[in-house]
Amino acid sequence: MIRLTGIARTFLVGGEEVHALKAVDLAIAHGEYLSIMGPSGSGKSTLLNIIGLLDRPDAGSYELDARNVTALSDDELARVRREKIGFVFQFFHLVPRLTAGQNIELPMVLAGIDPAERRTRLTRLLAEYGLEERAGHRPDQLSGGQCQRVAIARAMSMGPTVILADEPTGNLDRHTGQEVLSVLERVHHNGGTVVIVTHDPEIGARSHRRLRMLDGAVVADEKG
Amino acid sequence: MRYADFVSFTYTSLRAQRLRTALTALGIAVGIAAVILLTSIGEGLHRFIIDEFTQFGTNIIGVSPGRIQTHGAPLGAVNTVRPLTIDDALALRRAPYVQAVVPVIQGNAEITHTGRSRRVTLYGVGAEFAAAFRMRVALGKFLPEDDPRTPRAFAVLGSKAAMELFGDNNPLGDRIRVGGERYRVVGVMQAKGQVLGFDLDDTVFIPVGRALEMFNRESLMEIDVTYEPTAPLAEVEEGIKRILSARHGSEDYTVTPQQKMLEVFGTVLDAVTFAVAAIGGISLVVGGVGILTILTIAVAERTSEIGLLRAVGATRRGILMLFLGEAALLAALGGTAGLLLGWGAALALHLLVPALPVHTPWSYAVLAELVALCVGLAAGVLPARRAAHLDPLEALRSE
Repeated sequence: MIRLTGIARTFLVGGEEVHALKAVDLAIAHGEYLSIMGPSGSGKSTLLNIIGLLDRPDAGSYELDARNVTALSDDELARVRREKIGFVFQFFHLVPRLTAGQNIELPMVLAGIDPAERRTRLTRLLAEYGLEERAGHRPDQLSGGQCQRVAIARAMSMGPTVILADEPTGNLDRHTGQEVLSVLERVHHNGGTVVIVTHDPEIGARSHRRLRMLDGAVVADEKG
Repeated sequence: MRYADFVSFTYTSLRAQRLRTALTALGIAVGIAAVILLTSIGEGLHRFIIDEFTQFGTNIIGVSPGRIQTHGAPLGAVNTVRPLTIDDALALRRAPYVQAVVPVIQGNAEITHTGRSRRVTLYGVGAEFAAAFRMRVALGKFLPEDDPRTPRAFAVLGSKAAMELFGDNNPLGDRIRVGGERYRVVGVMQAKGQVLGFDLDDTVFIPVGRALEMFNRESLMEIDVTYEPTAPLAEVEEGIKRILSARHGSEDYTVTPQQKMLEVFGTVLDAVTFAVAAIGGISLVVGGVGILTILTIAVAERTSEIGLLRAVGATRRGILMLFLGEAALLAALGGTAGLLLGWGAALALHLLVPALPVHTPWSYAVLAELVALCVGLAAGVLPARRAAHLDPLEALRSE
């Protein structure tokens, strides 16, 4: 489903070339629950951004759902992100002036989905993530855990191929982090593909496939 | 993105910053209000002046003696200006399309009646004067159609002159003295009021032949010719010139159609209206700078939101449109408020100072509104482009 071949990414930092990714090969199958771990600077976020089509590789090719997406135009990338990728960020990234419901609806609004269809999906998502009571609240009236649940519901609203979570518990206390993690795991149980970037070994240990990165290369790939 | 969602999204963004939105829109509102108020006054002035000139009718051509020409002709060249005479006026009746020919001479004279006397403006005119200039007679009749060379000694009084000499008594049939000669009053004009500073009611009208004798003049001051309203002006002018040039041997007279004068007035007054509109336009530009500033700040503040929108599938063009939409909506809100403000101010001015002519030209109002939209869009272009060109990843990282 996701196939990266020889993906490399180089940044220029202060006139010096930094190889964030060095020829990474990676295949992720449908329904996998995968974690990417590694020290900061190991390239795990860069890898996630490339999978999420927010960043382009300097070399290599990327196939998503049997389609080569390496050389798509900016607008086409935006469309693919909208249809196939759900993002969950460390800092939630909710639009502060919109209610929880409107935030969840946002990708569907941008995609121009019919309001009636949006309402049906929204009702289902609110129920699924236990947010019925909070639909009319704005992010500043929600707890951190609720914010992240809204973000996950938003990521799921377009029925994406994969959920990409970058340190989804990094901004939450331990208990709430566990709760959010179990929500992501439920997505996986329902057949979704989940990729989590984390530096927390405990979280990594809960996933079914663990990637360990160091200096821009995958140094370990454990399953089970 | 659906149109309704687009509008609702931009509206929500503006509503989230109510004070900021209101102040920015106010900048545009003041600009639009200024444009509308100033053009209202300009257009009011325009109408006022045109009305003053057209109340006597628009299908009038004035013929005056002498030719307006370049000076500096060789010394010794004989300047032969023949007088415009009553016979000239009679001859002009034969010109094509002509309806009435009114010889006119104007001066001052003292009129007396039973010991009361008053200096008034005297008009020596032809019998068709009242009809040609759309002046109404209140009492009696205007001067009769006598032989213009030997008219009877009849006079018609302006309303104010009649009031001053006769008070509430009926002056019809009474004898008065005009410049020492005896005249019989046959009519009193309706009050006309002042026209561009001239009091048309403190007047006396007598036959032009007698006025020429009284002032001991050869030439009329002017011959006014009215023509059929549908007639082609050039042909009317041509006919008048043909007759007069034949009689005078050369074109030693000046023909001035009122329509041409009105056109010149119109051009000048349009320029005035446009100039005041441009002055108002300056404040509109200032309002546009306000939008530019606020949107630039908004883009900086909402960088991470822009990153998110790009991540969940907004294209660059989508982001561009969102911010342009906000700019346009801001300008439209301000424009509408300004329209009401300017219109209200014009109305209030009209009620407070009725003497000041105020008229709101709606074409200018619509134009101002369009200009506001354009100003908004133009002001939005830079910030919107900046927003659209943000790298989604960079934008997401900014917090």
